[in-house]
Amino acid sequence: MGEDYVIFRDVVREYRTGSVAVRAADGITFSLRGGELSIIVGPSGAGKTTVLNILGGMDGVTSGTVTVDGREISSLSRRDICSYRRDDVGFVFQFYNLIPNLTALENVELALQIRKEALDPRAVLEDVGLGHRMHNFPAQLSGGEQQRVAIARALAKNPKLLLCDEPTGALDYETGKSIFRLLQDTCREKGVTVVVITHNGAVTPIAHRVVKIKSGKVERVTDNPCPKPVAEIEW
Amino acid sequence: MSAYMKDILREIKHTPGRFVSLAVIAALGAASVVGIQATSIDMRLAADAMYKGHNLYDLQIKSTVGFDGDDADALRQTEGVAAVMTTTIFDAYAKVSGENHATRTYALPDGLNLVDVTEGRLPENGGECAVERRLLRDGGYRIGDTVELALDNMDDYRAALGHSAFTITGVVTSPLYITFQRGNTALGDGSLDYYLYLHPSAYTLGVYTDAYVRMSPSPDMDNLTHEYYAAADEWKRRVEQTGAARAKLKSDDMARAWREIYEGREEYESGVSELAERVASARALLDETKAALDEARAELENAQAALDAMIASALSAGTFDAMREQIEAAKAAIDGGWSEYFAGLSRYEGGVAELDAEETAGKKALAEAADRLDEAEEKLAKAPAPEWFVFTRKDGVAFDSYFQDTLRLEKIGYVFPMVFFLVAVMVSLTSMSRMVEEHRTRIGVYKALGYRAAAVAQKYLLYALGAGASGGAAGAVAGSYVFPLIITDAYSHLYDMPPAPMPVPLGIAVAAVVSAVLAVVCVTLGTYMAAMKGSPAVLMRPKPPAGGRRVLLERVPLLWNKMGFFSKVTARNVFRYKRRFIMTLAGVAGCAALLLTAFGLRDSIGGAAGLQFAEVTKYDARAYLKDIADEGQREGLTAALPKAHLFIREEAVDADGPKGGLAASVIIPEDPESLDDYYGLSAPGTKEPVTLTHGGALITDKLARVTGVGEGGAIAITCSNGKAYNVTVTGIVDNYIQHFIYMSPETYADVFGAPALPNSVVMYYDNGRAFAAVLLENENVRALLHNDELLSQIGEQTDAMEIVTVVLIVLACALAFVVLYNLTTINISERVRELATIRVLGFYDSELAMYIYRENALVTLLGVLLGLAGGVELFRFVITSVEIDILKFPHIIRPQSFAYAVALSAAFAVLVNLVMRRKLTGIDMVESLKSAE
Repeated sequence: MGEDYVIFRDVVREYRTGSVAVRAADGITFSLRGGELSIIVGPSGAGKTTVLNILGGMDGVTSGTVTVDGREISSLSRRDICSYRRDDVGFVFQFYNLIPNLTALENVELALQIRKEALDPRAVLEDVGLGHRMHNFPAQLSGGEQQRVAIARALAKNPKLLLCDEPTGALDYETGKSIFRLLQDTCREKGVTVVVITHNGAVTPIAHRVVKIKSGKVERVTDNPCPKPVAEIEW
Repeated sequence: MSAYMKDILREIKHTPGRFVSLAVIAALGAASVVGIQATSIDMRLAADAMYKGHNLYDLQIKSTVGFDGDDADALRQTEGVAAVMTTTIFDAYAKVSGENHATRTYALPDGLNLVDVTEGRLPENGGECAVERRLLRDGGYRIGDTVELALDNMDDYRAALGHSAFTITGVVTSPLYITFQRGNTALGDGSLDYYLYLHPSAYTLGVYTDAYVRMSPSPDMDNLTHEYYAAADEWKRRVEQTGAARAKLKSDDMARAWREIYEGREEYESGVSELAERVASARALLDETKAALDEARAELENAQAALDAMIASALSAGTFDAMREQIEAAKAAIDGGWSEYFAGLSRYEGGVAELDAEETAGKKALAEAADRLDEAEEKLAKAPAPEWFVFTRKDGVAFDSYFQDTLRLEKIGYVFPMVFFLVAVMVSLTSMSRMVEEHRTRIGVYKALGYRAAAVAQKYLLYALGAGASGGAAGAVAGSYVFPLIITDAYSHLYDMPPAPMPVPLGIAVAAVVSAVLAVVCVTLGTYMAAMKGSPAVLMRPKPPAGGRRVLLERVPLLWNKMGFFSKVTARNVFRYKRRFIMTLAGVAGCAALLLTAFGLRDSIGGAAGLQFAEVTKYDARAYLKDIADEGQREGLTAALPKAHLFIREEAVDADGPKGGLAASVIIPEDPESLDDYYGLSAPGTKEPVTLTHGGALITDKLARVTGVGEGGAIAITCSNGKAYNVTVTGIVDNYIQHFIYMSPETYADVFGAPALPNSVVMYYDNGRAFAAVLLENENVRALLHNDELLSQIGEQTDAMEIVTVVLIVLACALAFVVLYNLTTINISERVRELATIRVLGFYDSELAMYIYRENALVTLLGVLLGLAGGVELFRFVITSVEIDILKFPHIIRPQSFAYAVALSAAFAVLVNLVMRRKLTGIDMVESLKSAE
């Protein structure tokens, strides 16, 4: 894994409602390196969620190509894109999206049901620091704990790519920080490629590469040769 | 258009599925209520219009001695009688495609029972006839062809009809035959095949055989009502009184005739002796004359001899000349004497000849008189006692069964759709509460903006009203056209009834739509009020998702630990949304119960006749007889009957008890010991055999139920002559069709004070039906009915009922589909975020579908099981409600019916899931990124 693990090339995504066409992505081009923590940052409505949807295999492109680990995902069939989501992507949602009717452990086990190379759910939960709350239902967990479960669920699939959509958006400062720490550690210790999408520019120093998006276009791509540990930043 | 209306219309446009499914549920509910009722009403209207249009009789009267003008006048003077038609009905064989078929000939109607001419014209003279279409078709006849009528005994035939061949002038349909059954006859094997109409002048009987009566209140009265039937019973009583009076007069006439014969005989005897006397005295007179003549002759001869002697002596004495004068005088005197003598002799001979002629003529006249007397006596001796038999339409099998069918439909139309309604209300409850919940934040915003609760509620109420009213009205209208079409089509195989007018039964339709709308609106209001309890701030915040919870099953680790991951998920999810779970369960259970009930109805209604003939009236055939009073009558019968037979007396009576009364039949076996060989006598439920003992009666269970007379109680029996008796009930026996009171002959004699003369005989075939022709020739046999034929006739009737149950099954299936569709839609829309997440996690379409299907399958399974249990109860309720007085339906549901109900419910669950799959795979994964709600 190295240079150009993820490549967006001239990606355009148009949404049509009636006769009105909205260009959410208007020729986005960037690349991300494998095994690194990258942050895609931009104000609301800039098109970063569109990038995330396309990268996560949840949405297609109008034109342009997206390549992940040498495979062009922008032209995959419905079934193949589903396999891509299943095998290659772990997704962390802003609102955790845990299945309310499953315990923490079971939520993680859910990933196990569809992925053969899955990791041991208990171990993963221990790793995210929730070994003691395995049998609690989401409603019995705090927001931070829920997000940890969500990360564990994503990680348990042993994905190539961990995609996080505003992972701290619904959390308080301290908890948010701990989640970022977890993501950074995961990237560093497990070598997982982590892509975080946030509107919060203050956290960009922790990333290896920062892609700034504005009005559907890439404004700037910045590399941090030495990303700061989460503990050292404030916002 | 107000912004409000726009908002509602937009709401409908954006959620077409919900609006349509609500409307469809209301439509199904309304259609089922209105449709079945409408069918019942349409069928009644059709029959009512037909009866009135053809001036159908109210009472038919048969007389043992026929009717004359005085009888008709007496009928006309009976209170309430509007019209009387005396007519002739005569059964004969018609030659149809080379074979003799028992055919009933009617004289053309005069005012009552008007026929329709469908082709050609009516007969205009005694040599013409109009036939029913079936006869024309079966015989390959055309108008203008000749049909031959005959009887085995042609003397009987010639006594009734003047011609034996009739030219067909037209095709007619008679209002007397509304089914394809033609009824019974005394000819052949006892069943009638055809009818035809003759010109009245074709009949030579001299009296009318039948009288039909139309009563004055009946033209205004709805003919197919209980009121009509009650009135008919009253009319029957009145006409019977007239009949009794006429019979008395006729009996007096007969007595007078007997007296005349007696007087005639006396007159004859005196005539004989008078003649003899007269002849004797005349002969004596003649003899005297003869003697006088003989004397005169002797005198003349003597005179001649004296003269001869005088002449001889005068010649010898030579005194001849002197004596000449004297001699000539004497000669002249003798000659005069002779001529007088000869004249006398010829007068005498003339007298003798005259007397002889007179005597012969007198004897001949007397002999003729004697013959006439003998003939008159013979005829009078043969003539039956004058008696009238009065029949209402109820006695015509077809009229009553048609009425009973409409009643049964009406009852099904009340009971069945109620369940529909319950299910529909429950489903719309779920649907509307989901809608209100979806709009929770919006309601909160309105409330925060200062709208009053009522103003906000208006939208949902109008939405519900729109769905309920449009669906209900459409369902009511469609139901009132579609159902009658299907069901009357089924009945058209059974009844020959002109097509019914099809008015939308407004009252029922409005009631159905209003209750459908009310149900949906109330439910909406209820959920809305519940949702509106919170403050705007609370309402605007999304409702926290229901927390996960462990289910009971997890307390059983033995089972829980064995379950796969998804089974556990399914188990938890199913119980997570309790309300929806209960609603789905109830919906599926309701449909399964409806299906099972419909199938069960089919089994039971179809099964009643089968059980009756297999378990109760087990014999093969039954012959109806004249009262058997003496051994002579019996001998001929016994020779013609199969070996296994039992003479019985059956008497139609009214049975009453504390709870009610019914028409029943008293059955008195001649040999009580062998009764249970022919009539199955077993206790209802337990099927334990019951025996008939002396001193009491066994009654059938439905009779016991309706009258409220139990074992040990006394049942009041009213005979046709109006006398009432009380009989102790010693046992209750199982029975399905009609009501029986079994009694030993001793009991009968004790109670009724008269011996039980057999009037029927039940039998098992020895060797097929070959005996039937011989038996029917016996003068004591009136008709012979074969049980297998009766069973197939009843079978035809229940076929029509089957269509009704098929319609119900189709409705239940449609409901099952809508219910499952609706609830699955709600399930998906409530959990769209969860499902989107699952998709993002990488579940394939099929895996995602299974995630939901597993739950649906489990709920469907539970629902079906519950439905089967509930269905058995519902079936019991429905079957008891649709039961008509004359029948008891066996409470049977065949195992196949359970299988069908399960299979259909499952099939619809699968179908809905297939339809739902598109919806599932269409879930936008972006939903997962949104916040809850």
